[in-house]
Formats: sequence, C-alpha cells, structure tokens
Amino acid sequence: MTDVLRATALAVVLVSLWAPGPVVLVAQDRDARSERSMERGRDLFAAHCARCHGLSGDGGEGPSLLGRRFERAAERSDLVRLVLDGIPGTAMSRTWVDDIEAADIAEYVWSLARVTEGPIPGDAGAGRRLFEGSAGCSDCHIVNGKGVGLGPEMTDIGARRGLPFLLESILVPGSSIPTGPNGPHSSFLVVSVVMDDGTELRGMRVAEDAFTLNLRDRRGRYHSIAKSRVASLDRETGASLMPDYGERLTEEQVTNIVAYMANLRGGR
Amino acid sequence: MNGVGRTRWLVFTSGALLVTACSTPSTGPRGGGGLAPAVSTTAVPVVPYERLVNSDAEPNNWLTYSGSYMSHRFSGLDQINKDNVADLAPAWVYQVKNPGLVETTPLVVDGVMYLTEPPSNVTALDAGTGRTLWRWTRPMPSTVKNIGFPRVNRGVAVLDDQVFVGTLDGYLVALDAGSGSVRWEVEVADNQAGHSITMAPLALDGKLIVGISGGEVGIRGFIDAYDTDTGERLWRTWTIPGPGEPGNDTWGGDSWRSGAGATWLTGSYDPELNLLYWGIGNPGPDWNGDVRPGDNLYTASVMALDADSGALRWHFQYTPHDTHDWDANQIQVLVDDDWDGEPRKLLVTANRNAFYYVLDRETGEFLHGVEYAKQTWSEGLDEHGRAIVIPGTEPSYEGTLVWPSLQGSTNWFSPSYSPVTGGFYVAVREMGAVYFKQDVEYERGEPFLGGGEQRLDGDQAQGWVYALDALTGERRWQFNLLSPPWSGVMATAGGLVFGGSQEGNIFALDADSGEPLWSFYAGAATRTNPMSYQHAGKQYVVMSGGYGVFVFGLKD
Repeated sequence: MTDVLRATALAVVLVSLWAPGPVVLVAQDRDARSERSMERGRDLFAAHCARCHGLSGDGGEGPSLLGRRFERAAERSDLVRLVLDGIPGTAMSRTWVDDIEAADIAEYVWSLARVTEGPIPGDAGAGRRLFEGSAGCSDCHIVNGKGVGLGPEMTDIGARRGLPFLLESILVPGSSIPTGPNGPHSSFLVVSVVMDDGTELRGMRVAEDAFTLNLRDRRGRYHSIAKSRVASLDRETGASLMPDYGERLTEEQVTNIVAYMANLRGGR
Repeated sequence: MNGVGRTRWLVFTSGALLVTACSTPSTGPRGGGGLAPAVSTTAVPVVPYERLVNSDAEPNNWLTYSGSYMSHRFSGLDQINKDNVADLAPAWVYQVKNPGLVETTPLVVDGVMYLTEPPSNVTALDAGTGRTLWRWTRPMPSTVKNIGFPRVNRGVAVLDDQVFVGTLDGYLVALDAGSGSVRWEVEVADNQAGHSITMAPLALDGKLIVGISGGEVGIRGFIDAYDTDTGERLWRTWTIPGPGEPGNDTWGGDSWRSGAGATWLTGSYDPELNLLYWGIGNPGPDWNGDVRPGDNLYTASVMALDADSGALRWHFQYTPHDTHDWDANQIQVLVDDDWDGEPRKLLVTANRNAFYYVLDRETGEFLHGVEYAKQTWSEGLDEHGRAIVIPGTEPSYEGTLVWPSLQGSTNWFSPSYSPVTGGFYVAVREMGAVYFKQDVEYERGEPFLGGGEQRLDGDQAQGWVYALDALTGERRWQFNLLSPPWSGVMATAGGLVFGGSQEGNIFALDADSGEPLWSFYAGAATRTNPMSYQHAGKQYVVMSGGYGVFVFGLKD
C-alpha cells in the first residue's frame, strides 16, 4: 500500500511539472447548472451506488468507474438508462431514483469517467517511434492489431486511462497492475511457484482458484498448475514483468510515450 | 394434519406410462449395466408436520431450507464418502430460465425437487432426471423494489400438499404441490415501502413463519405467522419495540420508527420448547449511528419466540448499536450436547461480526464466545457476551479501516453442524473495509444508509472454510479460498464437507482434516448452499454455479 501511495505521489508530481496547472480529470467547462447537478449526483451516488461501486467510484463489488470508457454507455444518456434500468444478468439492479436524479447521478459518474481533456504534453509521433522501436513496448503490447499480446492491449488506452495512470504505469509498472477477466484479481500479477519436484516457474497469473493456477511466462506460454503439487507460491505484489523504464528512458522519452498512449483512442 | 385429507392422487411418471395411484416411489430394476429404470413412479409428495419434526429419520429427502428444524445442514447419507468421492460426477444439470443470481436451496420430497429461480419463480423437477414437472412464474415488473440486495430467492417451504414461496414484491404464495397452481396468496408488507421477501419460509404445524427484507430502507422489521390453509395472518412480532414496550428505550427519540431490524433469513425451531429462533438484521441507518443512540434492540440479535403466539421469550444481542451493517441473520444452529457435564439445549452461531457464540436456547444465557475470524473492532467479549468495542472503530466522515467488511466474516450462506464430528463448519470472508459515515434523513421507500464502504478486495482479501469445535469455537482446520466466498457448506455422514467458491469451484473436503478430496469447475461463481438427497438408491449432492443447478452422483 505504501509503495503504491509513494508511486502515485511521484506520478502526480511529475505530471504537475509538465502541466500548466493541476491535472484536470473533470472537465472545467461546466456551467453552474451542471455543477449543481453534479453535486446532487455526488450525494445520490453515495446513497445509491457507493455500496457496490465504492464511495469514490473506484469499485467494490461493482466495477470501478474511474477514468474509463463504459462498454454499455457511449453517451451520458446511456448512463441515465443504466441507472434507471440496471443491467440484467448482473448484480446491478435498477436504482431507486427519479429521472432527474438519475440524470444527476449520470452527470457525476460521467465526470468520474472523463479522461483528461487538457493539452497533452510531449511529442506523440516521437513516442510512437519509441513505442514501436527502441523502447520495445510493442514486444509485449498490441496497438491496432500490431505487436505482441503479452501485456494489456493499448489500442484504446488513452480513452480508458488518464495521464497520471499512464505515467505511473511506465515508471512504476508494478504499482498499477491492471485487473483482468477475473474480477479484482489481476491477470498480470507476477507469481513465482516452486513445484514439489523442484521445478520453478515465474509468470503472470492468468487465473487462480483454490485448486488451480494458470501462469503465463515471458515467452507467452501458458502453464496450468495443480496447487496440490505446489511446494511454495509467492504472489509478488508490486512487481511487474515490464522493464524498468524509469531507469532506461529519459524524462523526455517517457513524456513522449505517454503522449502517444494518451492519443490512442481506439481508432485504427 | 391440515391438508392431508385433501391429498391429490396425482402421480408423476418419468416414463411413458400414466399411473393413477401409488404411495411409494418405485425404484425398478437398475440392471448391471447401470441403465436407468424404464419407469420410475412418484406420487405427489405429502409432508405432514410430523415428517418435518423427524426429518433426521429420512435423509433421502431434504424437507426444509436448512435440512432440519435444528438447521444443521447436515446430510445423514453416506453413499458418497471419503473413499469414493473422487469419482463424483455430474448426473444432470438444470439451467434456470431467467438470468440472475441463483441462491436457492432446493427441497427434495419423495422424488420431486422444488427450487426457486430468480426473481421469485418456483420449479418442480423430477429428482432423478432433472426434467421439469411444472413451473410457476410470478411476473415481476421493474417497478418492484429491491433496495440493498439483488433480485434473488433462497427457496421454498413444503407442508402437507403445498409449496410456499415468498416473493420479491412482498407476497407469500401457497402453491399446489402437484401442479404449481396458486392456492392462496397474501401481501406480507408493502413493497413500495421497501419490504421484500427473498428467504425460504419455515413451515411449522399448520402455520408458516416468514421474515422480511428491507434493512437498507429503514423499515420496521417483523416476523409473521400465517395459517397454511387460508393465508390468514396469525401473529406478527415486531423486531423493533414500540413506545411503552420493553426495549423501546434503547432507541433515542423516534429513531425506532425507521430502525430496520430485517428478518431476511430462515430461522430455526425447537419443537419440544415450541420456540422459534430468528436472527435479526442491522439497525437503520446502517452506518450512521449518531441518529439512533442506544443499543437499538432487537437489531443484530437473536429473538426466541413462542411459536403459537409470537411472544418474545428471550433475546441476545450480538452487536449492540451496530454501525457496520453486521446483521445477525446468519443461521442459528441448535445443538444438543453436554455442557459442564450436563445435557443442555444449545444455540450456536458464527456471527457476521467475527465472533462465535454459544447460548442456552431455553433461557438465552450466554455460555461462551470467541473470535473465530479476523476482526479489528473489539477487544473481546465480556462475561455477558457483550463485545468490548475498541474506540475509533466506528464509520467516520473521513473513513475508518476495520475488519471485517460490511459483508461480515460470514453472511447469509449457511454453516453446517456435524453430530458425527462435533464440528461447526463455516465459510468465512476475510476482508477489511474503509467505512464512511454520511448524514442521512429517512424517506419512505428510499435507501436509508448513512454511509458506505470501500473494500480491500482482490489479493488483499481471501476466503476460508473453517472447521470449528462446535462447543468451544476453536479452529480445528482451515481450507483456503482465493476470494471471500458467497457459498455455504454442508457436512455429511460420509465424512465430507461440501462447499463452493467465487472462482467456480464446487468441492468436497475431508470433514476431519480439511484435506480436499474432490473438486469440479462449474465455470461461474457459486452463490448457494449445498444439499443432498437420495433417489432410486443413489445419493446426489446439489450445488449451483452460474445459471446451472449441478446435481452430482457417483458413476453407475
């Protein structure tokens, strides 16, 4: 926890060095009416949504709503509908508010999800050349169908994550291990295993339950492991298979790669 | 008993024949090749009260939500045991017809399985093949409120020739066991005020006991009894005492009016004492206790009620002035054993607040209590069983980190008591949360929470199955799960403990050691309690995963 906080603080400091002001996660161009709506939405969110999505919207039993693009809501009006109707087949029931209150909640949730709108520092073109070339990012990440699918796909990373997160993910990759299809258990957590016959394996945890562990190693191979045969298992919280780019790249290079990533919005 | 005299001589047949009368299931020749019998005939089940009282005598059936009035969730069957459980395999799978969470415990009576499907539908299946005999569907408009919990149902009750279900919109419905036709229905409480029913009712002698959900809406909780023939309400006992009643002075001002105390899980019953034991939910609002100074009786308590009148005989409060949503609705398990060398009627429970309690169920006297799971809010229990609260552990505006999370060390999913091992088996959630407090005002039919939590999930949390000594609460063994579970456990006379995981494992552990002996990957989270029955000479174990109700048996 402490390492994560330290890394976050570092990232915030670095970002604020580039930006003319504080990082803007919430759009500034709202008029007074929408500000009031958002304040009401914040209170309603605490009452109706926070039980599952967390008081800060950072997730709990339900998914995090921070800095992301919603699969089921391309527009703000879609969010209103989700609030009022719920999502069939999931734990999300309809929320007990009226239409105006639903719109207030949607206003607030939309603000949680907004990615940075301000100017992005750095040279995205130079960042792309680094990403695909000497920095070796494409050796592990796919963008628009190109690259190697070992780490998370980056095609629309700029639409899902804000600048501080992107920066932190390069400088301190182990501090922001993304989750995967298995809920809050990350598919990219580094796990080291020693089997009862002495075999040693290290890789990213793809899936785990009480009986089975699936790892993916640096070469992309999947290992299916019976836990009953495991002599020791170390979940390396805070570690990452990503190289230490804080040491390898200059600040300018990092800035340029972040600029490239922030501009990746899913278009091909 | 009521209803027996009008028994329908309807008969279900699994084969092509239509048989008009039969009193006992016919197993038919199974043959050396393991072929199913050509015809298996089953009369419409009839369950007089005496069968419920003596449910231990017929382990082939599963007659009540927790398996017996004692709520042991223990199967006396031993065909599946430590020696052969490795060969357990799916016999058939039933897929529910509406998407949603499947939290039902099926009942099985004389070859017929009765289960509920989300949101409040009832289905009768051939317990040998899984084929549908009838289905009752209750329309559930989106305007029906379920605030603070998903649109689930945990099962039915049976008595005589009727099947009973509580509905999300706050009704109690009696169905004909042979056809699923409605005999009667009655509104228990107004859904638009936040009342709802997700629990399986409890059938007694001619009466049906039902509780209510709505603990996050500031309802005034109650326990009701209804005549099983007419649906007439026989009595109602409020869980929040009104003005002039004992305990009302544990609520500051008018705060009792929105005091919650929901009764959303099935209680237990001692026929000899004629006492009902019902776990009571959290006070309202959940996380802001400032507006309701006092102990807030009878929230987070167990109430012992006279089954004929509903009169309160005694109570024990597990968490006075709860501010963490630590309901005490968890199953109250009745155990008969020696205490200090004398036979004694005991009530034991693993509470959501991380403590294990042993009470005298005749008097409510606190006998013993011990921490059974990770907690950071209490220094322990005093001689009366009251928790010594560590200052500064209440929710706050800026957030307070406490173990366990609001979902508790355990929750609605059932524990199990094995009279064979003397073990109390419980699925445990080890998770902390940062609790927040917020200002809130009561408004009818609206969320009444007063705060919330941010959970420490993922690899910061984990799950367990613990085997406790039922009398001491001491841990005998533990089995680790990746995530905090939402599934109960069942011990069997075969020396096994069955359970499930959020990752989709359905498993059997050695009841003596905790060693895993069998597992099956269901492909989606299990959110239910295991049960077991025997049909046509074959034992089955049932557990749901995702939308599937998996029925396991040994290979023929």
